[in-house]
Amino acid sequence: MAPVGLAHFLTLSVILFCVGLYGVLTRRNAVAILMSLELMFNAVNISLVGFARFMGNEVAASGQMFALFVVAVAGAEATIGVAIVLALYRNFRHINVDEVDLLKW
Amino acid sequence: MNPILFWSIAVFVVIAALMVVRLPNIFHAGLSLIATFGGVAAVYAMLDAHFLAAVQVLIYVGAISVILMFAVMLTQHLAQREVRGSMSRHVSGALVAGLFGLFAVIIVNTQQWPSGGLPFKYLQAGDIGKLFLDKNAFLVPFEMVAILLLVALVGAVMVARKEGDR
Repeated sequence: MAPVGLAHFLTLSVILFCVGLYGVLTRRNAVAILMSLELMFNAVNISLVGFARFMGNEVAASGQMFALFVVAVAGAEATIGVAIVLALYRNFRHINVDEVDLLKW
Repeated sequence: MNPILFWSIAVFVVIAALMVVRLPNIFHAGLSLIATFGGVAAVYAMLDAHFLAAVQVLIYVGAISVILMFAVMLTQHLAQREVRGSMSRHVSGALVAGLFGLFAVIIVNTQQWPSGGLPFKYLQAGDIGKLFLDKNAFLVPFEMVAILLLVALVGAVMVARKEGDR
């Protein structure tokens, strides 16, 4: 088998990102959309850590530090997202994003 | 890096991710999301980012999935199936994601990447801590993230509480 290089990890990252994108575009449940978003965050992190591993010393630290910042921002995003979902549920008694159209006119 | 290990982890991650986006029961999707996070932690470990692998297990497997499961359990019955979208929505979603993925895979695989022969400095947890608190490195973004997390915490409470609660 061919040795595993940066291209392998980047390809894995792209595939994971696209699976998450498909989920965001097709799911109708708001919590499921948040889950797919987390998949996309993870995909980006894989590519950052892959670059950190393979692109030499100058990049090594930045790649992993950026991935850590992405984790922190993803944590904030998940908290806010779940709070919005709960507020939606309180007002609509469902969380189907197709029928939440308060900002449309 | 062991190719067999990489391929088994990659197949595991992709299958678990596909289950996240396809399973009709949201609770089951959340469970496979946890499996995906675990697989991604294994990918980090394979890339010699051991601190990040530990952070992934702590924050994603431990915290974010629990928050999402809370949201699932507070908003619907566990056996309830999601109302699926129309066929055209699935076709167009798959088309958009598939085309983007196709182009990105082509671009990634036609580049010449360094083949792992470059020197690589293993980052220990102590090195990461020093970088976070070094004013020539990541001190300012580190403090900004602290503020961001505080604001997110207060904002989540503000958004989720009942109207009229004081």
